[in-house]
Amino acid sequence: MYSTIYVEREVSEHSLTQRVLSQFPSADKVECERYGEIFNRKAQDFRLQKQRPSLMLARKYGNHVLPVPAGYGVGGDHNYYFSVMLNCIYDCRYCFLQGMYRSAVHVVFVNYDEFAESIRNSASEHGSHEQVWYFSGYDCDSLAMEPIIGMAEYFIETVKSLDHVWLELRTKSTQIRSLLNQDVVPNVVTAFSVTPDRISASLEHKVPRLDKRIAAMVRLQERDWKIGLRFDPLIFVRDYQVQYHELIEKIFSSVDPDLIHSVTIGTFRLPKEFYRTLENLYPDSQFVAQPFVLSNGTVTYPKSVETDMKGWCYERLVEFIDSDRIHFDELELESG
Amino acid sequence: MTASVNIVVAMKSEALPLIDRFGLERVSRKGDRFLIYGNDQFSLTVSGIGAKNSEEAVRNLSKQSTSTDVNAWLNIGVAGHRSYDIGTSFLANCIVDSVTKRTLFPVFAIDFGLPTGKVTTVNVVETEYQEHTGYDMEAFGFAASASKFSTLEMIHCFKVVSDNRENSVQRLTKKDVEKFIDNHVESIVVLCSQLRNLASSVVQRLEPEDPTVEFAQYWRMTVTQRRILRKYLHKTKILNKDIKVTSDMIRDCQSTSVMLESIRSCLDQHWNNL
Repeated sequence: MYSTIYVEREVSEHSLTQRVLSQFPSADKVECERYGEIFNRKAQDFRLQKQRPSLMLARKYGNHVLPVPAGYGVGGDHNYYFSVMLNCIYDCRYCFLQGMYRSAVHVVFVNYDEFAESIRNSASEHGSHEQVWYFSGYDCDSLAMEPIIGMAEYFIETVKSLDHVWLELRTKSTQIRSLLNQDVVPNVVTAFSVTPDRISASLEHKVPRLDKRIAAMVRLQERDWKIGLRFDPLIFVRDYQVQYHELIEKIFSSVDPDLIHSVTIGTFRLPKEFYRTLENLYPDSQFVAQPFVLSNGTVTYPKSVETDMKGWCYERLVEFIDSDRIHFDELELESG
Repeated sequence: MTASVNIVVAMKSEALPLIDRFGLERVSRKGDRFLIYGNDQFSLTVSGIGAKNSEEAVRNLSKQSTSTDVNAWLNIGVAGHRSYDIGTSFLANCIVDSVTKRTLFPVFAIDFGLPTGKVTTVNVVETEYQEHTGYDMEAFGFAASASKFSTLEMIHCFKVVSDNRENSVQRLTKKDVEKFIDNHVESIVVLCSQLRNLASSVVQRLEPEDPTVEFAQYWRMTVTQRRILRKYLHKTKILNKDIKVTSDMIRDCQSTSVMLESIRSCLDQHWNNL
């Protein structure tokens, strides 16, 4: 999977570094001082690198836990995110990471202990009657790399004993073995991002097929793990009603809606600067070439498209899920 | 708009096997600072020894290209090494300036199928070989300079080990150097082809010509309007709504702003199935 692995000298003896390196014995190991020497350099082509990304093992200094952007969350009193990984093994054409980073290198911060300490410290600032959420899938997929880096396993253990703390593992993957191998932890939600099959096939490169992801959801439900559904981003296509209807029917023909922890709905949106980068990287993409509108610095669908798609999906979903478990992104739906 | 590979070597003896194998013709004229050879796919320049010379040779060679060309850059040359056998070749995966300690990391966006290793660029000939690295005198200057004209995926250094602790650099002759490169010339051909393919993949992303030229014959446009028009025309093309200057909706427009508005309306129909 990786033929080049960069390692910060400082973490070269770290146990996780050693564990990862042992899984790629033939990879070219290249030492560096700080990950920014490679990750933040100018003169990089994200699209070329995405063909064959390298891995970087590094240490994260400071800002291990940050408040989420406005509107991100599933109803918790306090919401934070943490990113032990930057970038993703999947290649989704709408993903904001393409616009945010210069490099497609997968950066893994191996100092999980410092992230865990920050989680405990920030959680302790809030009362035990308040729900404090930690989202791990903001800058990466939470589970896609689990067999290699064991991130979920570590942070499930971290939050296990913190009653008022919730952990969301957001994913498009089917890597659930580390969850199935342990007893259920009630304050952990595995949130699956879903899009219709045909949209996924054209825009979500390397992502497991929907059938396999639904099978993963079912297996988790069977073991009493909480799961969530993330219809985010909703992607406009001419027959989106047909495609999203099929998607919702397909999911709930296997997954028990009563056991769904939460659903979120959001449409495609990107900061203007990120979108400009996407236009340069993928000028041949029909998705990117669409005539999006600029609204408050965000490139998104026209308001009418956004409202119609969200409203339509909400109406379908509320047939299966109570409305209080359905959440929207920051662009609120006018009427339920 | 073309994709090509620019090769930079320090010595004429490193260049000779490449000029011969690629069938390059001399491009530079008598009195030019740097020798340049080329054909329609490759250019080669002889920089002279040292990072500064390499840096300037890259800058000079870049002037041969137009702003729309996409070039990969390849430094080829001999290097000393503490432990590698004489005649071994490798691509640099890390290039260190021995004086400033600045480091560059070439990016391997495809599998070149070649071994890799660290290169340290020194400013005096290395005879101690204290670290496990290749010692050369150009790579850092070359790569730092080339990164101003291309991205790191398309900038690489190919080194052939010419000296080590057992085989002193002092005994190295021009003939030896030529032979070291000649022994690897087929690997270099493959590498150049791979690099050219990378550059071609970037060229394919770019629009071959400015679609606004024809429109500019009929409408007076500000720079901003022309930029917007170019963007709109690109979108219409990708979304299969090709708009021609002769189409009715364009021909009847009374002003540039009306013409732009008309194309935007056409684009907005994309959403109109609701």
